[in-house]
Amino acid sequence: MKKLLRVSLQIKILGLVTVLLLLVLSLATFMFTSMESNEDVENAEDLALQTSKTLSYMPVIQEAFRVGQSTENMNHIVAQVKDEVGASAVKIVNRQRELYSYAGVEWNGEIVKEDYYRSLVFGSRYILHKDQDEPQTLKAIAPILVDYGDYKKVEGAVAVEFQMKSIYDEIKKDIRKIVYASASVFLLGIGGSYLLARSIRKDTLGLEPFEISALFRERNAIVQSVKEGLIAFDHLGKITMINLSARSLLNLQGDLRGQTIHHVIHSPELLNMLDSDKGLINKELQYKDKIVIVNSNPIIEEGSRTGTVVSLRDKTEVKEMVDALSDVRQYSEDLRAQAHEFTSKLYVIMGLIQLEKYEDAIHLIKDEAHSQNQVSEVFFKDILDEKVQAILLGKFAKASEKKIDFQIEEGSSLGQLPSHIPLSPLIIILGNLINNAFEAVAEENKKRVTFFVTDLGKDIVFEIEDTGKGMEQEEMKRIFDKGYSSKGDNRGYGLANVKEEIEKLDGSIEISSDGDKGTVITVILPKKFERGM
Amino acid sequence: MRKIGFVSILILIMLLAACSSNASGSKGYPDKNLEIVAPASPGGGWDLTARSLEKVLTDENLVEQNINVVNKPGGGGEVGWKYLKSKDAHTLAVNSSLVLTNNLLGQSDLTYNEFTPIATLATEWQALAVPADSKYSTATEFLEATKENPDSMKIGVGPGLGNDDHLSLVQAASEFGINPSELNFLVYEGGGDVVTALLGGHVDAVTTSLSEVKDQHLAGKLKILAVSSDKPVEGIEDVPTWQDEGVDMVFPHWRGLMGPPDMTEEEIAYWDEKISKMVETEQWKKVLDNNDWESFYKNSEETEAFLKEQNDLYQKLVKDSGMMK
Repeated sequence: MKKLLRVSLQIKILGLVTVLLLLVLSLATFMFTSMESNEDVENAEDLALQTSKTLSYMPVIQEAFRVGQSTENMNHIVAQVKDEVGASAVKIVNRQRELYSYAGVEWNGEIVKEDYYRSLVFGSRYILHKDQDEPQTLKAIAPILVDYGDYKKVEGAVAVEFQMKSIYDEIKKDIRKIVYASASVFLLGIGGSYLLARSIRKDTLGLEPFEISALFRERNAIVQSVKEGLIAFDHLGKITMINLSARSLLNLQGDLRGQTIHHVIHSPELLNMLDSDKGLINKELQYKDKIVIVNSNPIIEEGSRTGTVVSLRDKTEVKEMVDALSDVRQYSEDLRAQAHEFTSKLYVIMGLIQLEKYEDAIHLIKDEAHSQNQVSEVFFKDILDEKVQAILLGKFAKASEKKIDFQIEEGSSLGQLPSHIPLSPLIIILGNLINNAFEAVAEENKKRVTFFVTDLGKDIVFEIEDTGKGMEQEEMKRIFDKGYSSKGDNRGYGLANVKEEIEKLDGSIEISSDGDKGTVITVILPKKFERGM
Repeated sequence: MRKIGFVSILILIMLLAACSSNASGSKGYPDKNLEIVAPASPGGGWDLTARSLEKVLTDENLVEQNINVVNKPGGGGEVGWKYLKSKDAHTLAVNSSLVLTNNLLGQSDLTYNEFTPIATLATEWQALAVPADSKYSTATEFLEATKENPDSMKIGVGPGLGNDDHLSLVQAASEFGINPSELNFLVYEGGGDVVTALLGGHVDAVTTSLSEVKDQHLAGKLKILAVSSDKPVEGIEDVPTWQDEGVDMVFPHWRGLMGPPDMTEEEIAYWDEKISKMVETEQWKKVLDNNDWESFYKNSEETEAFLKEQNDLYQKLVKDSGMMK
């Protein structure tokens, strides 16, 4: 059964219309023709009866019976009436049922006596259907009641005959007309349904309904399984689709389909953003305790918005992930660098001990301990922010591993960073810039990178200077573009990210490069973060 | 599809329920003036029956509502009965065998089935009479002579062919073996004219109601050869019945009462009660006596069966005798 129903829409519509039309039309045709033929027969009956009655009252005929013999006049009238009504024969008989007058087609002259019985005995007028006779006839019989003054007497009877064949011919003609009419209606219906099926197929992009439903189910499954929150609503704000992620992100429960978005979302900011004819790209928004990244895409049809699709991502989640990732990476880097440093120093100490130069070994150990102390002292005294300390510590280790002279410039000072500058942008900004500087000097003879920071005044200023070979004017312009890198493919996001993070913190970045003298990069971040989100 | 079918059936049932509750809604029947239709002009048998009914029912306080008699003459009763068909249960009409024969003889499309039978009230008997000086002294002699030479025997009848007067003789002749189509009937305007024609010697015999000829018979002005009753009639016990003459026929000329179609059981029961009481009253018995009618009371149910039986009889008479050549 299911397989049978899996036919194309066109066949379905055509089949249904054909069956219905055939049913209705054949029913209508049947009823109409049967009514029509009944009516035709009834009409013929009425006509025959009326004619016989009229003839029975005609003075000429009454006179003939009063006189007792048929007259020329009577025959004339009978023939005339017969022609006028289109009867096949008219007979007039007397009480003995002998023919008095006759008009009509060839006839064997035999009178069927019982046909006239009721008329002659009871004075009845009636119709007889002579279906056994050949040809079939319809007979109307009326008594001739002659008025003798005091009394009346039935003296004879009139029979008016119609051949059924001529009535049937008439009916056949009617039926043919009806059949033609219903056949044309049928063809019209078939054509119409064919066009309808085609137009529906056009609307459904040539897909059959079962294909559409499969697609729909597929889409639903996809939408529900996506990690991003998705909401679709129409131009009136009625929600047409919402997936699980969107529900949990916006903390919604119950059946939301059919409800308006204004009813469901209580954040006026979000609603404002959604109620625009332009799409949104990566807008961030505080929604309850979460920061949500909103993308929206209006569905425009013929110039007006018919609906909107919104995708939501939890920024907090993304941010936390990035933070965690960079922290881990940083710490592992630092550990690796430091471990390497100490390993090499341990080898030296081991060498000295094997050579039995104990004095030198002790000296080296003391020296190392001292220098460690000193390094810590220098910048941990001036640079108090732990986040920056951690980053710099890691970079020191890395620099020492790569034999780069990484120095913190005299006069650097930094208190606790304000709370709006968290770790992860700092890692991105400072980490990238220092790494870049390291790479710039890697191939040079003089490998020196200096880091300077100050928080005097309203801004925090970072300055990273290297002794690399500097940059061309052209290069400086493109350096912040995404995908640009002088370091080969699949890189080049570093400085773009740096710039993005700086802009988010309302800061600025400057680059000055003076030919052979290397590059100076200055980052300025305001202490007070005023721009609202 | 199934649902649609179900709904349409539901609607149908509701409509039917509405209809039937409508019909049975006439609680206090009768709740307005009653009407009895006499489907003939004043003065005839039907008119007499209607007016007698009205008088007795009113005088004996059987019916509280006013009763009006309405005359609707024409078409052998058809006009009055068509009028009845269009009315509610507060209108009744007098009827007779014509309500059957009109249809059988092709004079009318109305059939007795289209009405509600209420009662059969009274009957008259048919008589075959000849002039006092006629050479025929018994019905058998008359029929023998007619069989010999049917065309020479002029028989008066009125007011039309196919009425009970006519049919009674057709049946008698038919039973006797005469082809009815050979009988020479002269049709007069009415019962009175028929008797006049007989007394005037214009016809050899007449077939008519007993009441038309009974007095003349007693006065010796004419001879009644046979009556159509099942036993001798009071006052003229010497006149034989057709059965006495060897013709197996009892032919009542009955009159009754019927109502419009679809009367409720309550309405029918009302009339069964009233009319069964009425026919027992002295006044009604007097009416019967005065008109030479015999009580022929049948209630609604009995009347229904009687009508069917009569219809079969007439049908046989009209249609089947046509098979005789």
